[in-house]
Amino acid sequence: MELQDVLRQKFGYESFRPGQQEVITELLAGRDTVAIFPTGTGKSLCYQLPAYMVDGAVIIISPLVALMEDQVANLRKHKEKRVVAINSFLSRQEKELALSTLAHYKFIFLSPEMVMQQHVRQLVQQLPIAFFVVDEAHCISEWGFDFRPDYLRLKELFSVLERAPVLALTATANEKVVEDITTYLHMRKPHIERQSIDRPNISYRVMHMDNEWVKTEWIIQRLATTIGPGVIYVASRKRADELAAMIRETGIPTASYHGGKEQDERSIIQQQFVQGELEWICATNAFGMGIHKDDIRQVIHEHLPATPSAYIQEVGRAGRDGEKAAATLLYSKRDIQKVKFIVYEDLPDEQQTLYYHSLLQSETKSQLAAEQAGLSEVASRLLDYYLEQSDVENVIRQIHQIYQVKEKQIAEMECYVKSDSCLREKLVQFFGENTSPAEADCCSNCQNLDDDWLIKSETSTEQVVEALQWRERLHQLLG
Amino acid sequence: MSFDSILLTIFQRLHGERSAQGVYHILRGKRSGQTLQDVEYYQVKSYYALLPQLTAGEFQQALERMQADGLIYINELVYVTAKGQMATGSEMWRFNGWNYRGREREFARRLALLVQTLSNLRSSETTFMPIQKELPTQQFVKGFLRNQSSSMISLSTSLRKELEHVLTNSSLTDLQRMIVSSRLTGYRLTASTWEQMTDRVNLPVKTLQLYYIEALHIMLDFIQQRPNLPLLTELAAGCKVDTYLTQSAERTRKLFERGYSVEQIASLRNLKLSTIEDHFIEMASNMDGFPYKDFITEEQIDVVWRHVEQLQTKRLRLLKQQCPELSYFQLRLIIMIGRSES
Repeated sequence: MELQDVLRQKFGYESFRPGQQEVITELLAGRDTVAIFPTGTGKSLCYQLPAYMVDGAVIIISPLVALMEDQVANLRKHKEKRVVAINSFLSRQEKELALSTLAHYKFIFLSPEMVMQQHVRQLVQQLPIAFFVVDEAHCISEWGFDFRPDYLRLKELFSVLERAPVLALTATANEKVVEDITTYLHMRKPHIERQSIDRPNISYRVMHMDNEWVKTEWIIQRLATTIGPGVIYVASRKRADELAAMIRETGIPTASYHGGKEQDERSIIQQQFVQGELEWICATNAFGMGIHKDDIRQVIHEHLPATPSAYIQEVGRAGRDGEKAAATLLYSKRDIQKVKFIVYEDLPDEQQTLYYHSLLQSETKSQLAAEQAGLSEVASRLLDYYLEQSDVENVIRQIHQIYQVKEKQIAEMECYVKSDSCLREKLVQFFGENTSPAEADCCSNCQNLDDDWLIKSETSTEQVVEALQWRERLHQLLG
Repeated sequence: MSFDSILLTIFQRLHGERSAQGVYHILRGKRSGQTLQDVEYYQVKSYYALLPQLTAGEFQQALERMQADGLIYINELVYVTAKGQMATGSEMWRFNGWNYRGREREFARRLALLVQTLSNLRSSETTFMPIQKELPTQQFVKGFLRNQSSSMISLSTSLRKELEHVLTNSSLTDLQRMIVSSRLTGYRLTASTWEQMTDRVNLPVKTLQLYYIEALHIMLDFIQQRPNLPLLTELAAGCKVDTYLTQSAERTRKLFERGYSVEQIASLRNLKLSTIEDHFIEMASNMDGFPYKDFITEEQIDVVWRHVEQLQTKRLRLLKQQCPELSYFQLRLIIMIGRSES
């Protein structure tokens, strides 16, 4: 079958999005490939489609359970039953069942820690494998915005001489990160397919404000006069709840979304948002993955994200339908300090590292040692990995390097919010790209924004839907 | 009615003989000898494991607030003030925490996913994002549907009829009917969040959630008693505890059955004597026909209970002063067994 036919029959699309065909062709030719596609531009298809054109299983390594489950659900939605996800959330029986029937599956999702378990790796390596996929591949690089030490362990899997090709997927990666990806994954003469990070249909705004109170006022006013659906990213769970409650008071259907909510609640909120029953979501960075909503018109940041990558990912959730979308970042002077505090909390300093190390030497359990050294969970995982690799002096040096990377990323964000020149240009430059300002609807610095399309029409006042009586509701649901 | 009133009710039943921590363990459903014994002594089984997710922080906050409001007074142990007694209210909660221990939530998850699935299928929608992400729940519902022989449409109608029957006849309040139905999602109709319900009925989230748990207990009790609800009965499978004993206590019970003494069991199992004694207390509180006469006499029971009434307390230390010839184990057993019938 031809690529086009599979695209139509299996996925119901008439044509490829830019870059997809190139990636698929290279991969099918047996070549290692890196695909750098911005969020929402069809990364998953790059491995889902070729899977149907070759024999053998596709092994997908994915860093986050939530992400994994989302991908699994998506494949099942397309009537693919031969999917399995093996991660630490499975019970022992479930895991054993999955492993003993591994040969039945076409798509096998694994978390990095599963790959590193000897017997899992052996089982996988015995399978006929079509190709490997490393999702969110930037996590392997300490230069990436979301470094995961677990990922470095993948080196061992790919260093073997004879192996199936590897496809590395990521939304954002500058030259340095790409270099890390190709080296760590032992890729051989990889094909690199990069789609510009710039999303022409998104316009950018940075607004300087005196304090948090002014930001709140601005948001309330903005939501009263402009359209959704939209997402407001905030710094903390508490703030998400607080702001959502304030907005609800004004009669706009809004909910907060964060990791502190029960799973049931999060599902309901996602569903309502996708169905249009909720207009705005106040969220922490936990919101995004697994949200399939194409018509988000606005993304507002009430706080300063820690890296340009995080910012561009969150903004990239807007306007997936290709229609106009607006990104707004609200900035006040103390935001830099705040973000620094949050970021450095997850980085052990020299003293903590030494103390933690000495506790481990005296055979203190690592969890207890982390507690005593005042390390966050992220920080202790980082140290565990590095201390396994080299001596403590080296570790301190490496941590210091990471510190500098983070500092540089925050400096980039500072540079972005304080820039006088084109924001679009500035943002893509952080990813080693160049672009010129858009002629219309570019950014607040280009001063060519025409926000008429954003204005709420008078007639679109919220209708209050009467809640159904319980009996009616049951009948409507089940007949 | 509120979280506070539940706490006040439990504190009152414990009339100043337990610390706040003990109540926390009861609500979280800790499976330790002490907690299991407490719920029996003070007759608060219905509140056992009501809030398995309750965090120490939340609990502490509630205590501080209630103390500030003058409802309780804490001096190591917790006492309910006169104001607190007034505030407890007269509403009768109808929880059955002892039987369900948090598993009523699994019933609710299965129900939500089944309703969503049938609702979509009967509208010929075969692809939708499942509202329940937990793998065991998804597998349960999958297996459930595989075992049905009737069409999805008639299955859907049957489920609706059963649900309507339960909601109508199981002595739920109107508010509870609203809550239960509002937590269901289906084709083009999404469940309400707690916050949305709060706005509608003007009650705090926590209160609504407690009414919901109570409603689930009432429904499950009802379903269990009726033979004519095949779908819901199957959906409730395994949500009620089948053995009330902890695993460890169960092992002790088996050894006891084979004729070993308390001391022998302790040395066989390489456990402390007090642990094995805990198991016996657990057995006494959960088994019909526990042979308590192997350990205590009717006269001893009478004597101790006379002291209990005289002193108006079940505190072991005080009872031990009155009956120094009895061991703590015997005293606990006597309290657990209750007054003798004669």
